[in-house]
Amino acid sequence: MPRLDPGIRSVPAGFRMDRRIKSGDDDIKCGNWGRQEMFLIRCPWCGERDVSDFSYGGEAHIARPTDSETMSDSAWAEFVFLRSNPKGVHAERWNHQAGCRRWFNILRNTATDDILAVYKMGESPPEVTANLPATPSGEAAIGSGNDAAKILGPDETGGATAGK
Amino acid sequence: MQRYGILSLIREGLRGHTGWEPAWRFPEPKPRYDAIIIGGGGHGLATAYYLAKEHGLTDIAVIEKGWIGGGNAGRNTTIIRSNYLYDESAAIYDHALQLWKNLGRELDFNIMMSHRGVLNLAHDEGEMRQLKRRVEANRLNGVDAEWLEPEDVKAFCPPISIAPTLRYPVLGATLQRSGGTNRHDAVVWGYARAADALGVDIIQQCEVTNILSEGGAVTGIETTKGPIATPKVASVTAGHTSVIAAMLGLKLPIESHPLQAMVSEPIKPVMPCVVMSSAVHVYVSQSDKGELVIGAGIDPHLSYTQRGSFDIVEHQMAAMVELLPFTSRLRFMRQWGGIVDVCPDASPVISKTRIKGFYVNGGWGTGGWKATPGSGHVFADLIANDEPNAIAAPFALERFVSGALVAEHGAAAVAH
Repeated sequence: MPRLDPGIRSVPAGFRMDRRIKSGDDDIKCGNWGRQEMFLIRCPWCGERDVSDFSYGGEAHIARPTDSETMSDSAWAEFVFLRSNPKGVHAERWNHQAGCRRWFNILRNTATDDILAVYKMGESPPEVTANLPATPSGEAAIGSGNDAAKILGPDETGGATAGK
Repeated sequence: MQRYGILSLIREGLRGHTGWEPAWRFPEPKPRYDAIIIGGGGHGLATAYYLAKEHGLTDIAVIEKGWIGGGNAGRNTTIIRSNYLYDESAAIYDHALQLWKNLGRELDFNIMMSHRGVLNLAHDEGEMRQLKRRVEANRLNGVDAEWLEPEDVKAFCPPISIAPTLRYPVLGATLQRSGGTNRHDAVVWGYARAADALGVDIIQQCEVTNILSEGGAVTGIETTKGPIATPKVASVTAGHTSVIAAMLGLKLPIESHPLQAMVSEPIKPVMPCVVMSSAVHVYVSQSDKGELVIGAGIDPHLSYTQRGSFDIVEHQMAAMVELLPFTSRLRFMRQWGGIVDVCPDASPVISKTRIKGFYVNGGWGTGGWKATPGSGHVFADLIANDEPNAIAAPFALERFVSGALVAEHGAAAVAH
């Protein structure tokens, strides 16, 4: 019988995401700091505090140009405005505003908010592994807040509760 | 397209609702389209609809990774207004507002458009001067706007206290009477149904995994349902604009942040209009079901997780109770987050790119819903003619090189 519902007939309920760099629950190597979840941040000087203690300082490792008198407008635009904004591992600066007020860097997986490493200003980002989405705009298996827009793979049924 | 109306409702009522047709098809992708729109939200479907209706481009597809309207279209607080400060913003948002007025009739779909009015409260002298300036700027641009003194605010919206002893006293407010709210699902479904009737393929559960180019021009896309050839790809992916652009090696002036909203339990009608307060930092309206719909600011950090931090929820609740003390014992039913793409000047990007045939519509920040029809209308024009029209031109990516920013941070009703 035709249905009144003009929307989707079935909603994918179950979903699996298998492209992890390493599988398992403790697959996230976190430098010296152990596994961390948002929204607790481990300040390198003060220890673990709530995220509301901190202020976000944007993408890290963007060097101020040294040839500012000769560089083009588009090169300036790149420095001032363009950002990598990745869905994945992001190097960023934070300031412990309500604590020691010192700056430090974090590597965070923006697809899950897992904090992968905390390191000091001036240091290079350490190597980490992260639980990334299987497709560029997909959702990670754990940690994504988005259960709505997950994609079914060709061989997936969508779990027991999905319709036709 | 099956017409909806009182006659079809009576007819179907008498035969057990067995004659309703699906509102749109569920086609498999064809190997080639004249243009592909990535993103089946309000803006994407509006773009497809206007491309088909006004530019005769009907061999096109909308590719949606989840289901239509399941992203930010289903997560916003549906506030409609156009009282922006600058000429460029007023032009596009008021273009949208004029389209909203007749959209339900045009789409033959009840979008539940309610022009109930939007109040922007002023709580201190500086804010009052700034909002009065905005009223005058709006009126010069033909946007309906007026200034209300505290007694008039009270008369227009009785639950607001205008006691001078409040910590954040109400010194007045701007009112846009043509502003209001509408029904997000209905807008998405209405556009989808109308676009589908014009021949647009709406392909859901299909994620774009790559965009192919050759010699600096788009040649097609790869998806989870296979490759599709096309000379034109238009990204309308709120929350993933940078991810899509990165497929062509483009970097954008955009950062993505979670923005949270929530609804209370349904209560009797108490809020006759939309109330926004920048200083207390909350915006509230009441849905037709009776729920108070509440939004506030973004999480400050970049993230693609659609939930947001708890301290933002706390702040939002505190602001709500400060502004409307009677809500302190309300229970809340749902809280959710969406990802908003924010530009440095708090204005959107509607632009060609250096890749021929790749167009970007995004970066609407926290206020994209209100622009849905206007955004789709001017973006369709850009895709069809390969040149922006006068409304879209100021929102090109070149503004970040030239410096001609449309800096709406201060003019948006809520601080970003």
